Amino acid sequence: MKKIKNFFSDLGSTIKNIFIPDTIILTNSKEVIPPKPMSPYIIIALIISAFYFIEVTGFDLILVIRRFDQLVPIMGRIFNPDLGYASNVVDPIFDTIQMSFLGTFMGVIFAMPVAFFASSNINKNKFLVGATKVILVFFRTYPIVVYAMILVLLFRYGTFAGTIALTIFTFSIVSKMLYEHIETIDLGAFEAMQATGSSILKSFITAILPEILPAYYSIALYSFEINIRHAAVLGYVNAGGIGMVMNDTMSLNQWEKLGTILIALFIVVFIIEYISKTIRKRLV
Amino acid sequence: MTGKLTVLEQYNNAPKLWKIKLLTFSILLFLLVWSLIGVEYQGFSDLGGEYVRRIIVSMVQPTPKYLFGLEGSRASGVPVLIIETLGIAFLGTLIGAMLSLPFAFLAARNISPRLVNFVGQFGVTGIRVFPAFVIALIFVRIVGLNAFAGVLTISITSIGMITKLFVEAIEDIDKGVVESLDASGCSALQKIRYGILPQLSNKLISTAIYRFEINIKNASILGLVGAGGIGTPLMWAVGAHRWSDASAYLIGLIITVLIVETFSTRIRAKLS
Amino acid sequence: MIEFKKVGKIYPNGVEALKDIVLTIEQGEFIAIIGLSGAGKSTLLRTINRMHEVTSGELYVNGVNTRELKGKELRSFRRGIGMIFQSFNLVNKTTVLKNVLTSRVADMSWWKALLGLYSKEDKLIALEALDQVNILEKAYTRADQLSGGQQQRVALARTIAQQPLIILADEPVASLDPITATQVMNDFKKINKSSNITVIANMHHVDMALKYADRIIGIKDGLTVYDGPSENVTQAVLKEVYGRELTDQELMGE
Repeated sequence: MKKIKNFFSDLGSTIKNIFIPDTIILTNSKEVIPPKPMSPYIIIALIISAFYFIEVTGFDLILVIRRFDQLVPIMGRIFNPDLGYASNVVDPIFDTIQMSFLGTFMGVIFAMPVAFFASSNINKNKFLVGATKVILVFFRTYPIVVYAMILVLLFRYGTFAGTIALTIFTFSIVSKMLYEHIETIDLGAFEAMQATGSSILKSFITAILPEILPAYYSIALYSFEINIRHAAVLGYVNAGGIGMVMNDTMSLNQWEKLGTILIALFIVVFIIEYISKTIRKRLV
Repeated sequence: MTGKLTVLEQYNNAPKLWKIKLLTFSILLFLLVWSLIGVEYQGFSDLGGEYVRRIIVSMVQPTPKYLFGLEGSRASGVPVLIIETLGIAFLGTLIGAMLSLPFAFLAARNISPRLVNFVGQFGVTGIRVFPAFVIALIFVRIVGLNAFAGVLTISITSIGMITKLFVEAIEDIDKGVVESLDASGCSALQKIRYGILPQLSNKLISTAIYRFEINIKNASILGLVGAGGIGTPLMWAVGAHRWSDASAYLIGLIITVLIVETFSTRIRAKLS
Repeated sequence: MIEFKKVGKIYPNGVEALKDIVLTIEQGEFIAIIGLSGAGKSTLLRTINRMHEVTSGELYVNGVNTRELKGKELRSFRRGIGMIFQSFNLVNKTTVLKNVLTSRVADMSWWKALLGLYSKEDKLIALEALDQVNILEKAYTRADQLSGGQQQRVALARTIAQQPLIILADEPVASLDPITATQVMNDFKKINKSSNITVIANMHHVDMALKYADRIIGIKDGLTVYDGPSENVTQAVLKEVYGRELTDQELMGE
């Protein structure tokens, strides 16, 4: 009986200690009050949120388990690809690559001058810097699929709309990455160039550009990687590329063909990411 | 070494970089021309510039009843949808993180043998192949057009990035701490609890928050396939050309993204 | 010849950095400016090539009134004045040779600068300059792979390649260890004597200043409190300039 009582009071004080730590009294009678730990409260908050959101989203583990047997045949068919379909895949994949390349290229070019307007160490006009940054935020948070859908309305189905969408998207993320980088560089060499009698343009070309270029190329390659992946989504809204074909095969339940498409996509993405990573390592 | 280097010698010593530069330039030029030819401009659609103006005008007049979730439209109002979107991202990230942990430990070079690494990496890459909307469509088929499908989709799509970042965090552990615990006679469990977990937990939480932020942004893609959150009514509105309604949902989405982004950046900065 | 005629400089925030400076500096002199941080040494130096504007008085460099210069004339003017910085101010990600060549850019068209099309003549001038500071073998090394002392020598080579009439040096050896600092100061002295280039250097290390410069200018609170040969600098003079006695440690700047 006593043992059980002891057990519970021990448990109680351990739990209390987690939330409100006891004052520790050292051998020399000094008192140390450990700070209230945040983590237990955070964990409890997270658990409560989890339960709340489970309610809200209709999360139902049982449902998944019950319907799991519907998942298996689909996955099975995907992993049993119809390789004869491969020839239909080549053109759309090329479309996707072309779209991504062009979109990245144009986006990256537009991003450069804007990034300079947004850099506080180059552009001394605080208002302009702030305004540019705010505008860029809007571009970034606006979902790319919405751009794409509107562009498809304006320019009809096909890769052109997708390319423009990718350009805008690339522009928005590259400009941010760029100005964040530019703000970290040391402008001393720029000052030194001007002291030799060079004009601002020439000083910029010889002192600032070389400091930025490696990062610039790295960012460009990175966004190319991202864009190839996004190209699939764009196809879903008919903005061109392999996504359109994916959409068709899925609506027709042609999972084997989807498997082939995914393989092709995988190969392309893998190659591009590999090349990009190799080059980027050498750049920095 | 014979004598001092002369100026003329050094002039001739210049590294001949022009070959690489020419090669790179040619490749880029080729790619550019090839892409330009491939992407066809099919001309402006019949809708034309007038329509563009209409779009813009409607977009700056968001429909109030959706924007504020007023009577009758409570369930499809922005505030409720934001909560649903947060829920999808929250649960999805949570589950995704839990699923990523085993993959990460398998793929970490300092924990598992090379062969196991390869298997782990292969698995993760396999998952990453599937674009988000493909996964979303499949789940919608299975559990229906609802937020639950969204949660499942986000869980799976999060695995790729979270695993990659987890692996980096694990491989960055300072072995010295574990060694010193070992030397003072700690059991494996104690080594994990006091040596490994403290080093990891900050980075892991930071990663999860980062992915959460990205998942909120991807809510619109989910909306395309009807997998819930604010993305779904947004996409329906855009698809049906109801620009004012779309604008209301867009504003909701953008505000949510901004708030999450700000908090995320602050918390992650504090963690590092 | 550089002439300060009652030059004053007041910053926009009200700080009066220079007050009634009257100086005449002949071509070929080696001058060290000493004084406390914030006394006005940097400002004084930078008014000469108009990196800072004077707010009162006139400043003539070889007969040209610096206040009247603008645009192309200003750039031409700066072409003849070289500047060396405490933090070297090199372009870190490019080679040593490219860094030295930047001083030739002022006379080139912008598109040639963009494509890096320097003439053979320019390249030889640059390599000669590197040879003069004994760092020729590093010509194709990236600038950020060099030590501090080597970087400052590259900066000096850059200025030599500019072929200026005047060199302004703002704390050129403050970030260097004593041995490297001596090497760099020797290079300055060599150029000053061989090419008759005026050298005006701000120095923290009083010992070095006295050792290398022929003439010392002491600045305190924006005023010249001493202007004379370095042999005549006594403890009393230093006390005047720095406001107190200097310890032995401070003299060597360590």
